[in-house]
Amino acid sequence: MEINTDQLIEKANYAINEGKKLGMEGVNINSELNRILSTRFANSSIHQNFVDFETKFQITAIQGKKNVIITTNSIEEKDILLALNKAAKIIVYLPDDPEFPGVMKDVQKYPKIKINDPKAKNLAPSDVADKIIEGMNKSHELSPKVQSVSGSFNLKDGVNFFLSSEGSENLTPATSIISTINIMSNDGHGESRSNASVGSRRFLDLRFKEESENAAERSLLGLNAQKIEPKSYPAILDYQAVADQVFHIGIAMSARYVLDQASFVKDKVGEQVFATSLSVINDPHDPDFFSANPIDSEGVPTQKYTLINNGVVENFAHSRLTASKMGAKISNGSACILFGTSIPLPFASKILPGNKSRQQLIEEMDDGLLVTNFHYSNFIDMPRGTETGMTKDGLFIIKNGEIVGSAKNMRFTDSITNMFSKAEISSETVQTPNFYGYAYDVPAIRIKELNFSSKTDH
Amino acid sequence: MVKNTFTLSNQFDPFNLFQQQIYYNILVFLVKYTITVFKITIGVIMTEEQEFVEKCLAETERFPISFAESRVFSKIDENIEMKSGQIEIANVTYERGFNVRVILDGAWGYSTSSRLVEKDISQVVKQAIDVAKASALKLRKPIELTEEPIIIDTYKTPYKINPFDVDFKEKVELLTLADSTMKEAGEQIKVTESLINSYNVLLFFGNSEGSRITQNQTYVGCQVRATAIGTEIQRRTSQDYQMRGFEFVKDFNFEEEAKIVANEAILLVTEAENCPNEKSAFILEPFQLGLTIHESTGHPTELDRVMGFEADFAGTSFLTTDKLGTDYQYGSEIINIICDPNMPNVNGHYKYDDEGVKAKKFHVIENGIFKNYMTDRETAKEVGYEHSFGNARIANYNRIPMIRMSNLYLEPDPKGPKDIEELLSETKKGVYGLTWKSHSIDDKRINFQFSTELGWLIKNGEKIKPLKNVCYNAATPEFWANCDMITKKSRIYGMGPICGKGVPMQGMWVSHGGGWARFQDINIFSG
Repeated sequence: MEINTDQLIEKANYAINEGKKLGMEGVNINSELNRILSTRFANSSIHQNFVDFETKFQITAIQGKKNVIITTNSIEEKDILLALNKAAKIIVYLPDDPEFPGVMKDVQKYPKIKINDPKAKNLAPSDVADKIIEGMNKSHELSPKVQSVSGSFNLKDGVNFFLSSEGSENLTPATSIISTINIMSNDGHGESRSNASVGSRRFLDLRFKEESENAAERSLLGLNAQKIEPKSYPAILDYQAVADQVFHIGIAMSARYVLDQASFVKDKVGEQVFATSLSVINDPHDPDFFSANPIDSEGVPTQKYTLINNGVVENFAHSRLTASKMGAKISNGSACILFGTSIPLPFASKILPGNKSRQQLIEEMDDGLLVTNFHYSNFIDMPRGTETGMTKDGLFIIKNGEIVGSAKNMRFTDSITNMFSKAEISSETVQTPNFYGYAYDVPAIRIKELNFSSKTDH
Repeated sequence: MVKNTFTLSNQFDPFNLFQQQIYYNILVFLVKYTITVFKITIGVIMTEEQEFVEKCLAETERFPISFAESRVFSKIDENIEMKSGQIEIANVTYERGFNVRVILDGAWGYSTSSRLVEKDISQVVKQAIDVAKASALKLRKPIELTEEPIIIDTYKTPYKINPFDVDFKEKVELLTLADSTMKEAGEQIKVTESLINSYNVLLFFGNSEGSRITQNQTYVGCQVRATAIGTEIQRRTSQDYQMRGFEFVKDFNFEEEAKIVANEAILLVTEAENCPNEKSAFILEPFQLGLTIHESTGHPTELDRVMGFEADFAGTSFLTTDKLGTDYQYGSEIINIICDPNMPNVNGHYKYDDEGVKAKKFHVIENGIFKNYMTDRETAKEVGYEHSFGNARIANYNRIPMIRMSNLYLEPDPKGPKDIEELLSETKKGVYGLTWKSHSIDDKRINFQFSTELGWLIKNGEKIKPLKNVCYNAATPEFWANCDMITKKSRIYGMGPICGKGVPMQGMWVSHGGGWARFQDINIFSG
């Protein structure tokens, strides 16, 4: 089954024309056609593979100060008509929202960013299997103590097409590949696990084998972990742990949560909240960045902007609605679909690198911990920015500038502002994808301390 | 020694094997005959989707597969959400598609498409075959499934009022009522939220063994939430989901629930004190209890997770297979945690799972002892169960069936106090926690830390002071071992499609709850 772009464009135009006939003031079509190759592997074998031919066709009907969104995954005309009629039926009962920005009247201009792999359409399930097997074999070759490789591999290749009744139009061929690799080592006395996440727009560039090997090395290093007491420790957060925290900072920088009174930075624009060394930008225009995208989920061109400048909160991520509600002139193109809903998020966040290498940060630490990653970290109280979560994938003990062993996992309970009140940023950054389908470009960061509140036996 | 709940596979015996082969051949003949008769008899009333499933299965017969199943899946998801007086979300999603899953050369192959067109069937089946061949390149061992009864049935969850037939006007009016009620409670209320969610899944299932099932599930959910600002920012929420129609929305009583959450949110920012830091008796109402069951009992007893299939994302489990059948002490003797998708109206209700296995009521924990995992056909076979417990579910046409929770609850204690009032009256000192605020648990599901929106300090049997920022931290077996009291009265809450598992993610609708329960010596603190 081919990706038929012409058909998608034709149906989008059909939907807009039919929507107009139904009396709608404005109609936006946000659509995708994709081929997906997905694999779940576990216990060093491929467990379940699947191939999907996916269609998404989202119709936003706008009438004055209100809108309704109908999504279908069929582009048959009868289904499009059904969706439009449903929209027309619903919208009459919705009250006006005086702050809703209405139809996007100006014809939008989108940056040209190449985010696809032209070779991806020819990939077969066996190509993906070969890639996974290569990584598995590489991990097992390291040591007989490497016992199992698990993970997931998801490749999505197709086109995204946006069309508005006012003439804004954007066609983007897009490829995204995200994989996670989990390695379990066991030396007969206990097990140790470590994880890696890789993402790329190009199949051949995906560092699957290399990151499998890195994760395997970490899992071996994590064996013989000792139980240490939960308390505050000076800590270096490695790439994945930083990416986990950037996601939480991103939630707080979302204008939606600011409006909900749920963000701990809601009234902090212009204030020094984090260490002066911490600067975070949203950069969706870097073609080498996995999160690059010319357009957001509302059809607004994405923008490069600063979120945190030398520790000072500068901008929030906006959708059209939040921008209007907060008095910003226009959205900064940050709307994305999360949990099935459009939420403004800085989905292309980058922490600007510092001057010291990651290795230097380790060498300069007398006594502390290297935290590889966090598991299930969540806000305890969003308005105060307090969080809890577990360490995972390797918690390493640093003494006199060297990693001298590993510790059993512990739970941290701390506030984000406390965590990043002092920060030494490493000079190397790594693109780290998360399971929401975005990646953050992050360095390792030495923070003053991380407060651990309880411990585990593993 | 494993006992009662499952039987070990038979020892190898050539004679039995020969006999079994004969019986198997007879059975296959009878099944095919029955299917043919079935098709002829009801052919005239077979829906397009049922015919589509038949055609997919027929196409798989062109290949040397040992098993095939096919589904046509469609869903409607309608959401209307009001925030601070404005409709923030008015969305309807229609999705449908079909899938084909085969076992070839001992490996799974799966392919799906959103295009329900006959000419695509051969390509989708071919992709499933290619995928199986690719999977077979790195196979731990050939996939085997439990034998299951062949089922031919149609089932629709009952409702009185189809929620999709109700005008948005009525829905908007209910949300507006909730909104104004919350605002009227006091000036401290700064953000008001309310929603109605209606959901329908229609699934046509067939497999090469002869099962043909059509299942139609409809559920609705309601929520109100008030955020108050005083000395700090606090929120209160009330929500429930049930597998019923719009009559449930009418029963939810938006006005009353709105009043309660708004007044309690104000209480939190005006009178509530921080939760004390101490080891104390801790009492949970059924919603928060349900969340605790979900995270600390449900996930660690999903057998795919135990076997490492979810190691990269969700994690593994401390309840490893060597604990099965060993009388592993999971909790105190009054702990009976039951999986029962058969219970009508609850959000985790179904008659058949998505592998065509009839839903079963069974103990996960019985009298404090770990008894059974939740399974699909593959994992059940692997640990020696005779049959699957029927816990495989899919959240969409393009998702693999996975072991999911359904309706998992703590059984009320017939010897316990009548209700929460009686339980509190028997508590000298403790904290009563209500409603989920946040949660976190480690990847083996042992160390957890949850918090509740509201708490009450209990002294000499009475609620004497409201508490805010109530957190509790415990290790799973110790927590459940410390449960000393469960009420006779119980309640099951639906939790909407909030349970996330798998990559790509599958959000699944579940229900949990049970009696009000008391736990001794729990580490509680302000967070």
